[in-house]
Amino acid sequence: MTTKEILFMDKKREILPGARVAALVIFMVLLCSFPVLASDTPALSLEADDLFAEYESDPKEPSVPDPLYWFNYSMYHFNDKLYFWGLKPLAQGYKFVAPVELRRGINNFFYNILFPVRFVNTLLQGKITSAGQEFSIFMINTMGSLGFERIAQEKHGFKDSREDLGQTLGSYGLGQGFYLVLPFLGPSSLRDFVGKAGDYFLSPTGYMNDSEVKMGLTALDVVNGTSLRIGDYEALKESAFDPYISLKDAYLQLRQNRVEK
Amino acid sequence: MKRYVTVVMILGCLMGVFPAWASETGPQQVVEKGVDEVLSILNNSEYQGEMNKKNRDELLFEKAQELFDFYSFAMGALGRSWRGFSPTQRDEFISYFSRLIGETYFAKIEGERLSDLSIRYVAEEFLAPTKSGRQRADIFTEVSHGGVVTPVDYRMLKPSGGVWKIYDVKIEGVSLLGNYREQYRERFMDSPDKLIQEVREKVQNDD
Repeated sequence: MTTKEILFMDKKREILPGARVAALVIFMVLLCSFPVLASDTPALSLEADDLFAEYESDPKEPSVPDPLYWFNYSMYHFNDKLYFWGLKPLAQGYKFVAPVELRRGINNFFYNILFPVRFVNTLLQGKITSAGQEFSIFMINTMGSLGFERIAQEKHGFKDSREDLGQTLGSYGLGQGFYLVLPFLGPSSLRDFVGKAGDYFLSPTGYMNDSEVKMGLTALDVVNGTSLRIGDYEALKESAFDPYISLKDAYLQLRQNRVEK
Repeated sequence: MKRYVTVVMILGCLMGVFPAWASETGPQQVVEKGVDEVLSILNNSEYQGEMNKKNRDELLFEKAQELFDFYSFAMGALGRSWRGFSPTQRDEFISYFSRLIGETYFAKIEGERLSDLSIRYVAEEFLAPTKSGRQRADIFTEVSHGGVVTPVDYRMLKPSGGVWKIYDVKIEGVSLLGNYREQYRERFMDSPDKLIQEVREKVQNDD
């Protein structure tokens, strides 16, 4: 018998007293018709409640393992220091000189040129409508503003698909494998790492020959993107009791949600 | 007519529905009203600036207490650990935990420009009630800010005779409750006092 089964039995045993209390309360409400009793929730919401059942991972599908914990933890630590000592001060300085409209425009530009990744992956998942939308978004935004504005989404109501190869593999039934924290790139998983490598062949920067220009563009993309998100990581870290687990869980939940869409 | 009124009153008493009449507001209306009120506090010039920060934060926190079912939120977040908590320890934990959540997220909203913020209510979905008879609903919204659309879902509960309250928020599919639950998952051996101490220190550090 696994620990999970034992736990489950334990829960079952607890249902009885809870149900009895609930029945008693309902009976009393019926009998005395005291409205006050009805709002006396704590008695009703004992552990026997099934409210949080869906937050427990499926017994058949264990939560994503973390066999490389020590490597991951040191990479998490490295990225954390890199953010606070390097990237954040840089992004703050950049934020100070570059107006927000420009930064959003640049962010949209970099998003727009990754169109091939999204387009191919919608097709690989057989999502023809999404592929059509992605194509329209790319054409409208590129012709209208070289990709600096989101005309298609804001004025014409087209929807971003945000697909990538990691999600495509997930939609084929491939699990995350295990959790992985990459230096510079942050949280990932075996599946998403493979996906990212595959997507690289579809990203325009992957085909640039001049490595200096390529590095410059990547740096601009990263610093610009960070300048728009200062505070997000801090909020996550400040509200967490264990930031490593919090970040890991947030990443895995996000990816799971994207695959299901 | 008098007889009719008497019958209705008796029926009403028998079914214990009187408190329910007072709260006919649906879950989506509760969220809409709550969000509007929070935004109006943030936009109110009376509460802007460092000097009024404390007043405003108090006001926001009161609103949060009204909107959120912190009891269920803490219960879900603590998972297995919850059983070991006595009622007093639960109350103590909830008071610090709600402060922590409030402070983190108000601090986050503060830095944002709210002028280009818009919220679209996408759907209201009613779920099967829990075994203890509490109604459940999910409210799906999309928050647009700076050209970025973020899905924000509110999970809501209504005990019989009570009002709809939020017990979990999902941002881009990431459940806040689930995230804390994961952090507490392997800590069921820790004593309640230790967990209370931890959350208390976290709140005090943030001040």
